[in-house]
Amino acid sequence: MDPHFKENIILLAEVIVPQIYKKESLQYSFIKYFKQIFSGLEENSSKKIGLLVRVINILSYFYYLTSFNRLSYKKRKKFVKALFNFPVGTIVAGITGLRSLILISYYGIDQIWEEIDYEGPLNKKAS
Amino acid sequence: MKKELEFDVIVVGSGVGGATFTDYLLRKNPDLRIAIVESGPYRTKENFNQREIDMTAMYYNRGAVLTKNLQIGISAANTLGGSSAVYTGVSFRPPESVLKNWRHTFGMDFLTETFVNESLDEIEKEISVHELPESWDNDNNKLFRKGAEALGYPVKRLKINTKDCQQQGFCNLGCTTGAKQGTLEVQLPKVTQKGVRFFCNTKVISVEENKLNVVVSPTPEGTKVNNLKEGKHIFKAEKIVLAAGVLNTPAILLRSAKKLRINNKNIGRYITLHPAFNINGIQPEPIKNYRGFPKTVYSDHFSDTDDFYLETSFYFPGVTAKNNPGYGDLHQEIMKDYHKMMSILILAHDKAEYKNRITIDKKGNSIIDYTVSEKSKIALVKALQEATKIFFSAGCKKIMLPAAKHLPLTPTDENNIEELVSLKYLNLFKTPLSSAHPQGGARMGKDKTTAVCDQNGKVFGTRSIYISDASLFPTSVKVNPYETIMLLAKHVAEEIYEE
Repeated sequence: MDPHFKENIILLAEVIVPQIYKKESLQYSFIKYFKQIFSGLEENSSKKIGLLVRVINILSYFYYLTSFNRLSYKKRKKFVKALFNFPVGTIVAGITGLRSLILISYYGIDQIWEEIDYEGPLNKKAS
Repeated sequence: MKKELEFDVIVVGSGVGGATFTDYLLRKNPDLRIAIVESGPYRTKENFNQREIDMTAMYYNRGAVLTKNLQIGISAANTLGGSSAVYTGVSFRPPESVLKNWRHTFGMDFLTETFVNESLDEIEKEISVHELPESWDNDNNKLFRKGAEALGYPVKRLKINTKDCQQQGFCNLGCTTGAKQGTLEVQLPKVTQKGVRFFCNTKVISVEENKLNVVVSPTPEGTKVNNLKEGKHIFKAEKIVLAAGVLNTPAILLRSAKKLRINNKNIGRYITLHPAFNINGIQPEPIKNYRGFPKTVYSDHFSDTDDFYLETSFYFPGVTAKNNPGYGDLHQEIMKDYHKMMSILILAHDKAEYKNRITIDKKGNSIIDYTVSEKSKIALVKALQEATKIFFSAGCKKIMLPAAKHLPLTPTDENNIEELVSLKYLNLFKTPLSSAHPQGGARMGKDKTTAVCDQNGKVFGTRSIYISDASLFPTSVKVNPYETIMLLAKHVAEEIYEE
């Protein structure tokens, strides 16, 4: 995964799931699972996600005259909120789709299962 | 051309359409040489590990196939056994009103009461369809019943197809005990014993008369190794039966229409998706619905009047998080109550419309061009309102909805549900609308100006190409579709044998 893309995904994930921002140690597990899902996507989908991340950076320049990775956490939150309410449906759908990938990756972390009281697989092979 | 790739019949797809077809054809003539070509990998219960992220590999695009307008996510399995490897096993016979329409409007005269009942009696017996005892209801199912009945909405018990089910609750990630009687456990082992050969990771590029052009992709890690070399191959057969599902069967025909010289104006048209929301309410106490059989009850109370069903359901943390609207602190706090969540699945009946279709891009990839109609939106919002009432009636303290004025809804909102949950708050670009029941795209019917296949499943204008999956449905069957697919597959098999 391209380091710039990875950095942007983590920055977005910190807004979608604030616990990732608060607890940096979760980033490793999160990105491991994100990579697992992302690498299994069809080429067309992964390309679209890559494009979306580039568009987010371009829009960041329009909003704040700087790239997404240079925004403070507060500004990032405000910007992501604007993306979810953007007048172009494709952008809203794109950020919503990325939100889904981020949430599925985050809630795949065993450590988080304890926090939400999910006991996980019963099958011994999974442990 | 290798001799080993010549068969009497080739079946594309190993889900309920393809596997049931193969099973019935072999009952008529056990000597036939049949191959099943499957685009997904060869996985069986030994390969399932109940981990949500790992098991997304069983779905096309990790479960994230989107419609062209990006408004609906479609879950369709890409694995041996097709969607029967990942369904919950909810078993419905096609409603008589639907069959009546199919007979009268589309000339599917074979769907007589006798044929339907005798066939489904036999099928249901074979795959162990039964109603689960009330003692198996987990809290989610009990609460749904309590909430709905308090409002005067009748609740019915679902039938499912399991044998010796351990009630582990991981049906949608593949059944590790083999209790679910999908094709992996019933038809595929049976036809294997009769000599049927399987070719997995094998995608069909196009079909011609008596000929199938395929490409074999590498074997994914942890699955059974391919028995064909990677790359392009040609299969030959007397008959070719497409049962690759709604996302693929029409696309194969569209890629092949020119060579086949068939009229493609109806191919891919009239698809329905049975659009669905899965929504959650928070109970005051832990209920742990991820254990136990996920769904045992439903309500069809609004089916005829408002075009939707309500079923119970329960999902794993990742999908549940996706289904809960919003993000950030509120979303995270709601997810901490995962173990207190009650869950309802809304299924809207959508009308088959010409404009909704499977098409292909320049590379031949399938595109789902589908727009949610105003009527379906109204049905979805009405369903959200009624489900909200059930949540409150069952004692929920917070409800997360995709079309609400604010989140979460709390008991103080109980008297204003119609105002707070309405069409003006439904933005399909940011709601987790999904579909697990795509239907249509290669309509069966006697009129070749409006249908793609005749009443026997043969593609109009071809000699050797048939269809045996949900693509055949001329309209939505309005219920979970797998029994209806099996019914049509049996018919197509018997007709091919007669030919």
